[in-house]
Amino acid sequence: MSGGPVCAPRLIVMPPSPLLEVDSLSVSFATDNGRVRVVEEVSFAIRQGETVGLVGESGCGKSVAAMSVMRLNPSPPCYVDEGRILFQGDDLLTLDSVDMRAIRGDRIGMVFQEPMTSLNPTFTIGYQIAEVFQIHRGMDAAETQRESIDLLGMVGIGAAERRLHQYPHELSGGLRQRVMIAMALACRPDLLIADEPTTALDVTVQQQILELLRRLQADIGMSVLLISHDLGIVAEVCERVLVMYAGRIVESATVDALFQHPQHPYTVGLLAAPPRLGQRRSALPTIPGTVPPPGQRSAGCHFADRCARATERCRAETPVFESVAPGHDVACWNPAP
Amino acid sequence: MSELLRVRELTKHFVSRRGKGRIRAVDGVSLVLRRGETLGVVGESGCGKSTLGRSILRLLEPDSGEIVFDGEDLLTLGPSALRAKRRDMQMIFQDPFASLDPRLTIGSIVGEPLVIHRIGDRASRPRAVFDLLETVGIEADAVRRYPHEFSGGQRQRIGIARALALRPRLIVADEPVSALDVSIQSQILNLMAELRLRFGLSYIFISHDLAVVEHLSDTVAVMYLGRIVEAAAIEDLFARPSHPYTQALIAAVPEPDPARRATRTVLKGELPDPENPPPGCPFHPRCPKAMDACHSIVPKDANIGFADRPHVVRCHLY
Repeated sequence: MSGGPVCAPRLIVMPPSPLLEVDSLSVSFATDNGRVRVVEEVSFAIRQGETVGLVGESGCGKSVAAMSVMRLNPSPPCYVDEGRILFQGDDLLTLDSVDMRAIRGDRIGMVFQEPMTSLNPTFTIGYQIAEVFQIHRGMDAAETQRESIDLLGMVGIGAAERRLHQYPHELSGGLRQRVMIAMALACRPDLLIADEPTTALDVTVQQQILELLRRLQADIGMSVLLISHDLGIVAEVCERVLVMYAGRIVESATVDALFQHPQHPYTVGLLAAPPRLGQRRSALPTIPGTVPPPGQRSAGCHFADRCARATERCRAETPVFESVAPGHDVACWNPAP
Repeated sequence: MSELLRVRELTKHFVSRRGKGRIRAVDGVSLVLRRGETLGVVGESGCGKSTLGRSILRLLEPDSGEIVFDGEDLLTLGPSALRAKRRDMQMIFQDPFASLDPRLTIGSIVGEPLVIHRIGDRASRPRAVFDLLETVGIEADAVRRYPHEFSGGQRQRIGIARALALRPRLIVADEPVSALDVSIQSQILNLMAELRLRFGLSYIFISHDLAVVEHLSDTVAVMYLGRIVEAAAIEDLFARPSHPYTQALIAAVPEPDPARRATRTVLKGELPDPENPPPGCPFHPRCPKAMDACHSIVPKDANIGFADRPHVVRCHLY
């Protein structure tokens, strides 16, 4: 670079564009009684290296929303009605199945709740890990073996060489989940979707897995979408939380903001309801009623029937998802003070 | 308060599937439940807490030990005497989807215990069933409907109504809320607390969830590999958790409070193979405080509380 004008690199300060951007995603299921919406206009984004929690009770649509990102919902009966899922600039919903398969397991990894049902019982652990390397990386047997041993070491499985020859049923629940995580991370994905990864595990083992996820997230720098019904788990590992209720995202905030100043009455109720260690109360605050099943959701805000703060407007008009503070959005006509 | 139940050295072993080893699911467990109180039994899967609950009701036949219920040893009762005694002891199960017969109406499910134990007659039973459903907060038109028409929380209420039908004095509740959503869990816990007062019930409340156990229990027993490793009044146990396993369990509970995002000590390893429990203290391979003695000598119970308010720990540290 001698002589001539030197062009100084220009620093362009740009907001980092999100790794994943889900834009008004609506998903429905075909049932005997016609189409039923289970995910309604869900929008969220995950930045590079960010860990985001998606919280809600069973049937709220959190798993369907996440599986839509992977395009793993069986269709029929499941249909994406509208929306875009932008991942590194590509709209995943428009990709053909070959391109999608190349992304799945390579740039996006997934871990499920029940490791026993997501591992194939008839093949060894080694065979199942090797598959990932062969499909996505075209590695030969020797390379695969070396990488597999490395990988098991990374997720804290000792005696890796011996483990490769074992079958899933020979491993404990915690070890199986580590194997699942190893497989999901084999190709160093940019995004890991973990759907209730510790729900089937005991509390002490759950802590081990959460610790592992935290460490790997930091080491690899990947983004994580953690789906859970447990606010405690989300508080421990996530930076930002999305709260889902009856198919919609009702609140989005940093963990600190959400736990200190929850705004949506549903979030408030969810945080107050469970018993907490060291805080005995004579009666627990409850959210009356039950989650309305898809197809029986009222007009307006779906939470209105159970909400102590509901007004006329709540029953008539769908709340707009609006910012109440920087980085804190709520879909509520009458948020908690 | 007087004693309702005293279990002494209860043991229940299973022959393993391979037919060689023995699984010591419950291994010399002793406990006391006073009238109107709740005893929480807490531990991880495979620790023997469910086997303990079922053995106490003799739904499983214990190998040895003593179960003194209201002054009478249940293990000496013949079949008909036991059946009569069962009126006083009922069970609530974890899975409200599996524990209600899908082909029976709610009316038949809740009324069945009355029929079996010949309580009331055809004319009076429907009234009794209505009352029971009302007690647990289920609308009266449920009697003609079927379990699949109800949500998990409603089914658990129906299961509770069935358990209450015979006006029992003891209810063993095995993970009654762990299959339920957070917002429904607290409804059921409140209902159970209310019913305990109203009917003078005593509970054995089995759960893996420490916070839930703390909420409802007066005393608590922590189980590990078939044995109780620590037992105390609930305030004492949480004020001074003494067994390293209890400490680890408490530390492992995820806190819904990011400010307390803990730098905690994570317990290593998992529950050992119950067929080949480690020698000495069964917890020693995972114990951060294990000493030489722990590898070979089985610890005995030590009371670190008072004679009239025991706090029992089974650990060489005490």
